[in-house]
Amino acid sequence: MNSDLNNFFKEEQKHVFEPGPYFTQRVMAQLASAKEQLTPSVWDVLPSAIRPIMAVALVVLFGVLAVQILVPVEPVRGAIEAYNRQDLSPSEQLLLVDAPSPEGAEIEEILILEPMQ
Amino acid sequence: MNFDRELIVRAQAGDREAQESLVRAFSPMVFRLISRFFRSREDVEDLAQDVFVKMFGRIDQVRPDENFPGWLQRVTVNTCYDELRKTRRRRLALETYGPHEIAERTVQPKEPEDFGKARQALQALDPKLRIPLILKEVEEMSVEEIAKTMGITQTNVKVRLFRARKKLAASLGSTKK
Repeated sequence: MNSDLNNFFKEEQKHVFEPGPYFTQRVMAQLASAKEQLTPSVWDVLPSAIRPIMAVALVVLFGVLAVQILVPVEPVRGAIEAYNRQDLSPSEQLLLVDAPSPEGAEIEEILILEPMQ
Repeated sequence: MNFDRELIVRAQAGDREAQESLVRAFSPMVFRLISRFFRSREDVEDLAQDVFVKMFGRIDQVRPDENFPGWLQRVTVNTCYDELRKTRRRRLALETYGPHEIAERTVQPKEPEDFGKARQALQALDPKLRIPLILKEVEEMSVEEIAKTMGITQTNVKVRLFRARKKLAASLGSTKK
């Protein structure tokens, strides 16, 4: 290495900053505020490589839950049930279909009419 | 460097006085090391603060029988390396896409011409070449110490030193022509 560079490096050795009088207090203050910010969340506990997988899994889970809650599992009256119901007599409807039970007078009428058919 | 190893144990337990004592004991060393890579007092102070915050963040990993000053030197050099890489990326972006006058303003004025050229050539070096060179020539560390501080092999340090000197000589040679 040439002497110019050696002189330059020698000169660089003199270039040193000393810590200021309040440096320790500044560090301690920053440390205190950093500690407040560093209260770990559930997310921080997970390794960073797992986070995208976890995020996708959560989105899928919430999607399934939303479908379960918002979309009814069975229709109130299905197509087959509706078709069959057309051919049923009032008494068969009473027995087979989950229809609201008729009043006393109506039920008597059904029972009387049934043998006549 | 002599220091009370008990301090580390107490600092690990969260003792504020011990933490303050550690900062007071090691801040001159951290400042000296950062001064090798950065020219302004503000940069040096900010980076030194970062180093100590990192140090306390990882102090649980330190064993009291470990070479604590060496460990702290490694944290300091790694912090400087990250910052130098960021600065270099910003400077390159500015030189490529920014106005020409801004790129020229980064050159230090008021300096002997030769030193100015040497500094420019040194700043143009990739941080992974520049750091071992400065640690060797200015900080006067041995190859073994540099390897430990940078977390690389001694062979790697020698290769980097060789490349750094070669590049520095080439860029200084080209400016002299």
